[in-house]
Amino acid sequence: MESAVSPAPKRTVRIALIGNPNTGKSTLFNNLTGLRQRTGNYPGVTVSRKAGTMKLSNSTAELIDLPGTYSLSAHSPDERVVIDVLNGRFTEIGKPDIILFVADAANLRRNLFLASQIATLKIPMVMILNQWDSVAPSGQQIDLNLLKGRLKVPVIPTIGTKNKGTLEIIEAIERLLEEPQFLPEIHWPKSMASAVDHLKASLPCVGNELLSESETHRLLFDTHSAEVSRLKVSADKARKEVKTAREFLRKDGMNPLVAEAMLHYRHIDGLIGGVVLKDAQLAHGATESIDRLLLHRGWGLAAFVGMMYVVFQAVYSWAGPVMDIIEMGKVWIQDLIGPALAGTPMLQSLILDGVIEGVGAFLVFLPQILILFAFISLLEDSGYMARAAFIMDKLFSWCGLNGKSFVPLLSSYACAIPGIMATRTIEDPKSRLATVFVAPFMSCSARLPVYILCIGAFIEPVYGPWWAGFTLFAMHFLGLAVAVPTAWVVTRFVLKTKSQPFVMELPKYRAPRMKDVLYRMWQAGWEFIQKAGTIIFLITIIIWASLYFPRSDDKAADFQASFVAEKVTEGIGNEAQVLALLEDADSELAHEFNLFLGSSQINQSYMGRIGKAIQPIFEPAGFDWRISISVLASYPAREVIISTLGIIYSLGGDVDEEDGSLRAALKNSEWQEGEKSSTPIYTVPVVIGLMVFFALCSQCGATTSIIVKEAGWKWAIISFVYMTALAWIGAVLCYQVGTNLF
Amino acid sequence: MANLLSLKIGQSARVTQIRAVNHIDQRILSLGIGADVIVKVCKVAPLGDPIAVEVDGAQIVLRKSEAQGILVEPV
Ligand SMILES: Nc1nc2c(ncn2[C@@H]2O[C@H](COP(=O)(O)OP(=O)(O)OP(=O)(O)O)[C@@H](O)[C@H]2O)c(=O)[nH]1
Ligand SMILES: [Mg+2]
Repeated sequence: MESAVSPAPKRTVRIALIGNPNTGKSTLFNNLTGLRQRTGNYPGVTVSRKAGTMKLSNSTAELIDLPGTYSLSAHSPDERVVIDVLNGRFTEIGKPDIILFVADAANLRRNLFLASQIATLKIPMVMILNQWDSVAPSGQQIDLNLLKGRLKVPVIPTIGTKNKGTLEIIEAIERLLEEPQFLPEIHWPKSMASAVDHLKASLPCVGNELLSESETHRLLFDTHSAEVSRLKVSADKARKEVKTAREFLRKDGMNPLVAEAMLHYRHIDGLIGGVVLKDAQLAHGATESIDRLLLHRGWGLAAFVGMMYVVFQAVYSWAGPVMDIIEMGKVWIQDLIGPALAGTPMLQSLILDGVIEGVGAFLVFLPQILILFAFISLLEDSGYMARAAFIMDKLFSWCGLNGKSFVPLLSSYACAIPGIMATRTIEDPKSRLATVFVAPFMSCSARLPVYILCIGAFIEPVYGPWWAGFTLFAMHFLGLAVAVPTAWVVTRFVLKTKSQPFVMELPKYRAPRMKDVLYRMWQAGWEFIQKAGTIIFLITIIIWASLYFPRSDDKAADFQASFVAEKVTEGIGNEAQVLALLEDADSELAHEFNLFLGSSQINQSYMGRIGKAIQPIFEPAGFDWRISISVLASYPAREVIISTLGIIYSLGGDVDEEDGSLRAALKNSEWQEGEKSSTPIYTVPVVIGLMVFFALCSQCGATTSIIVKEAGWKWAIISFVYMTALAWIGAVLCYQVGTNLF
Repeated sequence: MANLLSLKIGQSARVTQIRAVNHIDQRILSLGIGADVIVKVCKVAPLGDPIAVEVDGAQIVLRKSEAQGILVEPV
């Protein structure tokens, strides 16, 4: 008889990548899984755990990429990710079977501190010495054989960026699955066991699980451990028991606040003694020379301002020619499809004036997005971003932010969503919340279309390219100028907690990889295109419909009758003569009639009526009803203003025939009634006010929801109201001051 | 007693003690700046604060207010 016992169904092996920030975990994750996680030469690129599947020789395993950390101590729930994964505290992902510990080979001692803490968890480990290529240039030599003997786990030198060592990692994993190997644990004094047992017994977790040994260490050694929030008992009771446990250590002659680091480093020094040979003379050459310039008192600041200026200039001026090509393509498609749809006017209008106009107006800004992301990627991968944080810390600290706020804020110039996510690298909760709050003020790439349109139509033709570039720079600076005092108020008067210090590692400079830069551009561009195909497409159709309907032949006949009657009173001829002139489609009168018909139709459409109703709110900013409508329609996503204006002017028949651009339509746009009748709507104060409105307003549903996620409803609502109010005030100020003083 | 701020740029020193400022001292410790470790002040930000300290070949940025709590003796 065959045995009924079959081998237990094997579940997928779980493997976690752990290590200090910026050691190359995500690079290795990509090599092992074939996926494309974002990497970058800045500590804290990965901010939340990501999973992927990797192939072993006969099976697959689940690989988890984690945010980098220097230690297991956690002062906030976000910092707890690593220790929680290691202890299997997430229901979706169990405790890992194997740890791939990624160390920066050129900085072994410091990196092993975390490894030594993790050894307490008794999970089999592979020690990966990544960035092996930077060991020799840093003037060090590592005796691999000696190290292997000491660490008692597989030790694998790798070069993540060249995909070197990947196969060896897989081999090591398979070896460990056969026969587990563990990093030697630290020998704690006897009193530690008493302290740990005391905490395990007295402090059950929510759900009645026991604390693991590594978690009791966090309670023992950390001053404000985030583990407390996981306990079933009150914070007071926890504090009391921790105090009792610390007494065990004190009696043994240890100071619990410094003992941990001291003992671990002593353990590590034992493990690596004689392994690393240093030649002090050679230590970093290139990085030092570059920093001497880029962090110089005078040159450094000049270089910083210069670099930021070049980014914005490039975004504005390099994209121009490509934009023109896209715009030409749009007109070409319209000309191609238009005649085919002539038989069905409504469909023709939907396709030409709605979809192509709306989506096309949006897509024109693709080149800008690509250029901006190329620069961000270059700055980050080269290592300059961390220097920028170093330079900016002083400026930021007085208003309660810190140097680490710089990267979230700069990323927010591309898009506030990754920017707000990146605030997770800020340890200080106060600075972090303030950064989340002010990040949406940074001028994201979705505002770019508005600026480009306004500047291209009204600033550049009159004042020249220099002022155009300057205006764009100024608009991008405005958000920062508002953010700083806002952060000051928030951290000074709203958040009352004690602020915490700023500590950061400066990475070495590296030549950015073309592949990474291109991939980042492609990703950003593709997201932008997808947006055009989904949300922009949908909103475009809704806006088109609310501008097109209600519409009927009766109405058109009425409009014609009133037009004809007016022309008759103007003395152009009798009714029949005027009608005959209208028959001839090329006549000037027919042209005038088309414009009149278009704008009359829009005037009485649903959207037109709403626009007229809300226009008084924006009257003090000099906005007409069309701008008011576009502003309102842009609340879900600010880019929508472009499509909306496009449709309004296209349906209204205002789009210039030779130059099919929206730009020209805006230039020709005039007030139709009231005291300002026949004067241009878009004067310089109105245009600047409009840009200021978009610079400051909270017009992005996605950002609001990410603020809810990262900071809670209360802050999301405050942010929305505050930004909207500020935007309105800003626009009104620009218009009133600009119109009355100049 | 001398602290990190009293060092000149490029000057090395041995850490003798870290005076508790906040839970920052724990972070500083885990970064490898602890008693008996050799540190070197290598950079000052263009605006005068923070500074960067070299430990074991890595450069760690600290604000002056925290650097003050790191006591050293020049070597
Ligand atoms: N010279 C060199 N650079 C590497 C190597 N591996 C990765 N890098 C670079 O190191 C930087 C950091 O890599 P990431 O993979 O983002 O590091 P990480 O550990 O995921 O970082 P965090 O997510 O911030 O913790 C990137 O610029 C990589 O291109 C290597 O073996 N040699
Ligand atoms: Mg990463």
